[in-house]
Amino acid sequence: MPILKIQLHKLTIIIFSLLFFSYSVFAHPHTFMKYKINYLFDAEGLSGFKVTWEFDDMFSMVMLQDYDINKDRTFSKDETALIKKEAFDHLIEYNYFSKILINGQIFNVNVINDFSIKLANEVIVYKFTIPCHVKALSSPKKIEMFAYDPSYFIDVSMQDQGISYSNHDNFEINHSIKNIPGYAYYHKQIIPNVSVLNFRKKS
Amino acid sequence: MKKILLFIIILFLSVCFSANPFNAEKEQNNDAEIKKGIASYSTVALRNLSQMQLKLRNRISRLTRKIKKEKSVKLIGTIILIAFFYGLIHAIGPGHGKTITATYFLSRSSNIRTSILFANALTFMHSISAIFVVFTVNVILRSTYSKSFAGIETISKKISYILIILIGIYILVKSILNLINHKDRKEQALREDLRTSLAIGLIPCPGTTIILLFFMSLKLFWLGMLVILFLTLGMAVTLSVVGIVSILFRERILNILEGTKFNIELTSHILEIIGAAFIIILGTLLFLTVF
Repeated sequence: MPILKIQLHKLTIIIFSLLFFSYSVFAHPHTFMKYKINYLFDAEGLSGFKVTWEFDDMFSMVMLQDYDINKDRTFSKDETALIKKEAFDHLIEYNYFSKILINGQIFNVNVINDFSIKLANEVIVYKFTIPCHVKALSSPKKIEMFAYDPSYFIDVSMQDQGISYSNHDNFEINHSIKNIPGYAYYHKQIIPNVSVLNFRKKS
Repeated sequence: MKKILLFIIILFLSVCFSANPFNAEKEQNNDAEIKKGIASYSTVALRNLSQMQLKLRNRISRLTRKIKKEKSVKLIGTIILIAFFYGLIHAIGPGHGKTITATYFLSRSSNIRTSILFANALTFMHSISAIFVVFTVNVILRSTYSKSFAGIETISKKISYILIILIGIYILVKSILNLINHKDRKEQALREDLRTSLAIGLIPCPGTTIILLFFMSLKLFWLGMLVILFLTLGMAVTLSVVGIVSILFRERILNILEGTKFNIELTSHILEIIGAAFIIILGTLLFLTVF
């Protein structure tokens, strides 16, 4: 009987592991995307985010096949506009896969600028800017940001050395990457790596 | 049997709880901040799974580009072997009807041969649907993947979920009748099993679609089909394991109950009814997500 008990115990763990992994059916990652954030500053404080998305090789080839109409392995103005229209603009419903919080308050991404697309090392790279003005004061302001696909169709992860800053010389900056369980998504199964930036005016 | 169990445990639990082998140092730092809890384990597990898949997929694409330059049987062999492992790991992640498969075999009397058949029918249908989508988009609609896939996927999801609900209702009614008439369900069981697996598999696998389109873009359609075949076999192995584990679990429970005051026949019928109800509920919840 002890052997039976051990086997049953193991089987129980396996069964629960299976059910646990499977409870959200038909939605595991089929595409992979790595992202970078460049925090943009102006004289007043934060002015926005320059976001870079880099897709995996296979998905990139599918996009190239679909949208590189003249087959020159670059994306012309018209081809970029077509991609934006057919495969990007609808992401406004998902805040362009971006979760941004300013001092704990959610910032909805309704506008993006400077959308561009290029092929680099056989992978497709999107770049765009999210305007977001946060005035710097003498007390710190806290910005939290991460990219994610709530449906987990795309596995989104932050690129190594994925955080950078522009025109930040006038400000005191403190940055860290944290796993914040409160921001877990996809049925609370995935805890994201969150870019946490605290900044204030240099005294 | 012990070896099989050990293999299954290592396969699933190592994925759940091990550190990321591809990015160990960085992940260790990040994971240190994750609070202990179910979400933290699933985060690590899903991260590991996705990193493994990405690595295997990148290797497939790298080797495929190489094959364009030098035709080599060894390279083809390596690609299809990687595709097999990719399929195996891909199916461990959320999806591919594991919940329904586990519920199905937990709730009804079955055997290992049937579960393997069930898994293969489901995964092959899953891949055939994906091939059908590629054919529809490229040949019939002459459209782009990005534009058309979502629409086709939604339609096939609706059909599949309705079929799952109908099958659940059918099994439920039949189980209740069997309970009333004290009938064994073994007659026509295989046909029922196949119907269920084909209905679940009707939803096209987007991953398979992307891989096939990738091979087509490199003008390597037949190699792509070969890769899909082995990828599907890999997925079938994982799903077969799910079915087998569920059958073993059910048998263990019933064996334990055999020496007690529980009525095994009644318990078996009740399990079947609960399983059918669960399939109906799951099918309904899934159907609601499409809207």
